[in-house]
Amino acid sequence: MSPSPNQAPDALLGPPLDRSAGFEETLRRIERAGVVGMGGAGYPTARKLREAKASGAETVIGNGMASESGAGADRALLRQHFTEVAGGLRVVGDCLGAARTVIAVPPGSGLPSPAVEARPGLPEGDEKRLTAHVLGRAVPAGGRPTDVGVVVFNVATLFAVFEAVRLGKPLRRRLVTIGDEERWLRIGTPLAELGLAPPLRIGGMFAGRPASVNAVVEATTFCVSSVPAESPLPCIRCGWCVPACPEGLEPAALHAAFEHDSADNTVFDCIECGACAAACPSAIDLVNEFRASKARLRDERDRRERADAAKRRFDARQRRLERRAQRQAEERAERMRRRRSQRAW
Amino acid sequence: MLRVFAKPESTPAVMDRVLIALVPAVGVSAWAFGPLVLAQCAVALASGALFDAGCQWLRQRSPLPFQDRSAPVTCLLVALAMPPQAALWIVVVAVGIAIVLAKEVYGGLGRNLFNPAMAGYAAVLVAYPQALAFAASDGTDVHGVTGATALDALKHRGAATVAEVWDGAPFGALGAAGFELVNLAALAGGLYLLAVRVVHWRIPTALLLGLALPAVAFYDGGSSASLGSPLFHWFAGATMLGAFFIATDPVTAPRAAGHQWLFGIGIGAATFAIRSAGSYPDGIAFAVLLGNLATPALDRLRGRGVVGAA
Repeated sequence: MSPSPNQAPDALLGPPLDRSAGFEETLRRIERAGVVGMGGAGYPTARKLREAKASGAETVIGNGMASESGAGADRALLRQHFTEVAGGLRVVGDCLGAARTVIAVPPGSGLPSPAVEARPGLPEGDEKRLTAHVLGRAVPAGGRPTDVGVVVFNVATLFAVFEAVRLGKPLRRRLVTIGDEERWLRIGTPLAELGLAPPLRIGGMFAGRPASVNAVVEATTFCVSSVPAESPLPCIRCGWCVPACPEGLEPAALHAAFEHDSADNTVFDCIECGACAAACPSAIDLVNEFRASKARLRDERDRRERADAAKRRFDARQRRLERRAQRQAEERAERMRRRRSQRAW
Repeated sequence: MLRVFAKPESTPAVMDRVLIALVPAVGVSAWAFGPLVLAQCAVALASGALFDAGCQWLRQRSPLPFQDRSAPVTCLLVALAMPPQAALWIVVVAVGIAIVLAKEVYGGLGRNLFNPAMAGYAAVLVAYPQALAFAASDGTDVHGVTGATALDALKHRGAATVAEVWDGAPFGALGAAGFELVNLAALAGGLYLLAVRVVHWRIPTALLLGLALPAVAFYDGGSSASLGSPLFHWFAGATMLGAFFIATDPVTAPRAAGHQWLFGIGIGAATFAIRSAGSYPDGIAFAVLLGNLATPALDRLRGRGVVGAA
């Protein structure tokens, strides 16, 4: 691991800001530093802060739970730079006027306060689950953490916020898990230069996505791994994926639907956490199958909607033409009658 | 060594656990019925390896046999299902039907409709009744384990009461001489499978209940018309093997818990019905096949088979 993450302050970014800086100034700085959600979503952090402020969020959680097994970059960042992450949390907390700020870490990491130890388990990094754990009450189904006054930031994002605001450094590098180690990589580093055996995937072993050969490290790339060489075996319907699923879905049934190209809309409830793939003894790439199913179902729905819209337009035009023909026929009949009556007169 | 007692992490490891769990049943069977049982197992495994390799070669895969380790499980189950004195060529035919017709033709591991071992066994039972039958109907050769099984003796006892038949050789303390020990060994293996969470307790429990309930209902203390006590049914024939190793085959069992109860109870009840009213001495193979046949329908009963779906 190289010691200095992001380099010298950027002349364009301006000098470090202290706590006297206002909300707008801080947000502008975060925006110009290019800080986005680094846990995977890539949502612009300044926009998220503005929305959180508008919704009146009172609790800020720094998410240091690894979203997946084998992806230890967030944990390594906490070990190396806990002070900076806590500083970023303070910046965000000040912006929002938050009553409570905590960093959630996996149990047994031995990190100082304000860390909250959350339960282990694969989808614990899921922000709704984390919110429920920290707050002690559930986020309503289909809702967001902001619905219960909570906003969750990935710890790498908080680190980037700290560097942007307090040190004046733009987001240029991030800590990435590569195999068993964590490395600071410049955003834009070609994955081909990492020395991993292709095919590669971005994200962890179970929920990662296949990466193109030309892909680069992005702000959201917390882990790059080689796809395991072992080819998956068929599903033997052992059912171990069912208790593993935090959303109460039946991954085995979704897998069957994927294989048969049949529609099972519960796939849209999948949060793509990878718990089922981790439990699968046949090493089936379930999460990517479900992503493909979602894409296919969405595509079918779109096509259906387009076809329906075209049909509606066509029908409307037909009705229009019919009305016009009828009107013309009536006018013609009227003219004829008038002409006839004139002649009779 | 301790890894053997942990929940397996891969499908081949699951199959390995099942193979381990079958060892006691094979050993006790060989001890009780003689070394021919070991020969049957060896022939089943050897011919199974050839059939498996041939199928993989035809499917243009690596022709190494037993790669996912499901085929040797099938081989051993076929060998154990066979009567102890069955000829070796019958074992080969049964294994061939099990692996080639019942499994690979359907698409291999995970795609078969029927439990392969039971399909193979049932096929030879129907096709070669002479070769698998026992000289029991005349009641003269019921001594010694190479003669009739207890289920045969019970079926073909003429007008004797259960107590009278019981005094003959094929009955032991619990069920059927020799077979009760094999059943105990299979039960031990089954408990091991429960402990390593390869098998859930639901289907075995349901099957044993489904077998015991009609046995209790029809139990009359052992008259000449008695159909056998529940304990007898539990420890006769291939009951424990069927309950823990065959009906629990996840590929051919329904997914939902409620349906698994139905499935197990149905197999148990069908086993009792075939044993007491059918023309075959042990019905568990046919009962399992009937259960397998019901599985797709049971899975379909639940709107696309998804938990909690509207």
